[in-house]
Amino acid sequence: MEIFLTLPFVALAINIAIYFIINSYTKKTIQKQLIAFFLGFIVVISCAATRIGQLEFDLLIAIILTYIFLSFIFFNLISGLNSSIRIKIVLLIGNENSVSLKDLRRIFSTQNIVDFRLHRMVASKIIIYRNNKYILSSNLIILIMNLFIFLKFLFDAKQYRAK
Amino acid sequence: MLIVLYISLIVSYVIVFTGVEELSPSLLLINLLKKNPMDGKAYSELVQEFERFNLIDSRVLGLNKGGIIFIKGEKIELTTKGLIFFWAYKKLLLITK
Repeated sequence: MEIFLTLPFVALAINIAIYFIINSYTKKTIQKQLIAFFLGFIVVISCAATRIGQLEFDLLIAIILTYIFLSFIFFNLISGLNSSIRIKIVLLIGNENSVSLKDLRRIFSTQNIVDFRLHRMVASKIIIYRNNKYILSSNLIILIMNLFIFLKFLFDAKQYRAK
Repeated sequence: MLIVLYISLIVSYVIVFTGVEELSPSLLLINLLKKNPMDGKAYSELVQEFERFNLIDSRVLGLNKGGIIFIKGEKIELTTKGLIFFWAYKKLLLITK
């Protein structure tokens, strides 16, 4: 049973390994992460299914949830490294030793920020470009968006909705 | 196992809260496009909408509050804590690229 408790970490290791293998073939970050996550998830579910009846049900659920949360952390680590403005600011200041706020505003201009995100979302097919306009192509993203708005309301964070 | 689950849940919560607390440009973009799901928005409209939000200053303030940077006159530099994060990010970027 002790070996079985390492299952979330084994599945996470598979997730990470598959991510880096796929990384060589495609730059579509979100698709890579989803494929890697689901393959690891299949490993967890398959192994857990073999132990139904032998182990307590809540332990099996805990193993599955642990894998999901660990994958979520890995997912955000990779996404954050690629797109987080805060991380980019820290990297820039570290590389240059010091930076002025004016330079930061110039480098991270509105146009640069929009360009980067549009490029990433078009490459991941979350957004499509048609008739000189950008259009959302994924309803799942809208669902995630609404979840974040709900979380913002729950956490009583700053007003988020663009007016 | 429960301890690991608890710790991973806490870390996930911190990640989600950080994302929710700050104004995420990606989610802002999706929110703007969500308003016109069939017609979409032109590039210039998106940039104009984004101009209304000060995305950099809030992050600089957050980093300053978190002790990652310090502001010396007009210059911004990394604190010791910031330097640790800087080297960690650099190593991670090398591994993940």
